[in-house]
Amino acid sequence: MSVKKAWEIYRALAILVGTVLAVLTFIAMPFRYLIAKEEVAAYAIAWMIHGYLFPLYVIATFVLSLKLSWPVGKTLLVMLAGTIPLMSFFAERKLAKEVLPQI
Amino acid sequence: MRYFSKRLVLINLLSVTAVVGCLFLGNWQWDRAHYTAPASSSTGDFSDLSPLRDYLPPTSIGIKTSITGTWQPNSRLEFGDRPVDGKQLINPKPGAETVVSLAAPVGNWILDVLTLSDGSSVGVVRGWAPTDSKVDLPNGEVTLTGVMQPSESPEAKNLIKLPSYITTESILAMANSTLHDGYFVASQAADGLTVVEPIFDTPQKTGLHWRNVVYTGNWIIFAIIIAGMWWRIIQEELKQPNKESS
Repeated sequence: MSVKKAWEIYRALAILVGTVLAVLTFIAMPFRYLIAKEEVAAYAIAWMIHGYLFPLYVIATFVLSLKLSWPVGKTLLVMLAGTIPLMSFFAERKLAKEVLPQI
Repeated sequence: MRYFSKRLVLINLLSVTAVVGCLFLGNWQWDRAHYTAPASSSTGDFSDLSPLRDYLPPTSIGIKTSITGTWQPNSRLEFGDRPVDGKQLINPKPGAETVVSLAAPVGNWILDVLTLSDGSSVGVVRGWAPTDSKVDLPNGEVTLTGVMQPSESPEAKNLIKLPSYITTESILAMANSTLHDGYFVASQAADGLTVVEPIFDTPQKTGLHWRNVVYTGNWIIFAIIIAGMWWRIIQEELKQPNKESS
């Protein structure tokens, strides 16, 4: 796989995971706990989807880190960014400046 | 001897712990995913049927049991627009939100919280009343026989549209101590009330909780990812020139 391809997959997943996590945190969670106040099937399923998207994001980050020979600490930080709402967007923007000139 | 540097040993220990931890959690979720039918008897011990701090097992539904405790004051909940026979609440058209005109009479299911001898609480449907009714809470210890019912959910449990559902969360708002999941339907009504016919009377046999199956998969994936990172860290460590050997 080319660096470009690895970057594109990482970028797509960073945006997807970032969007899903932001919607879950800022819209779905307040709805579930403040408005509905009961078990909502769609809410549980949405978290499960996130539970499988996030590992894909981690794997994509891992592959990209191998292609660009990142140090382990940096790789872990980028992975961690996917767990904090909105942080994956910032990580993606920051990395874009660094990675795009290389590919 | 670089393979035995303090740093590498520490990395290996942490990684092994993390991988084993993830697999352990995966195994735990896999165990939770399964449920099996209890011994083929129609009666059971309440503490076996309704484990505290866990979901009510589907295999416990509708099995006759008895509970002993004291009523918790000011814990009354009334669930309206309900017939005496709970089976009428089952949606005849699964999947569709159905409004059914119930056969009269329609009234309230009266629920109070009973504090059991171990200090835990359980919501008890004490009976049915046609209108708002004054039902006393007897003082002192009472022993009731009845059956456990799952927390009601219109979609998951396939019920018709009702103004309110008896959920564990709604009872939790009233209970003063750790609450058992689901609710109990007494098979003798309190004075002035009519005995409620429970909605669910057949215990489910065996099966898989698909949510726990999904979580099992998550833990396995995390274990694989950590193992991958481990391999990567070791590669990097071994690439570096001998800076610290012991």
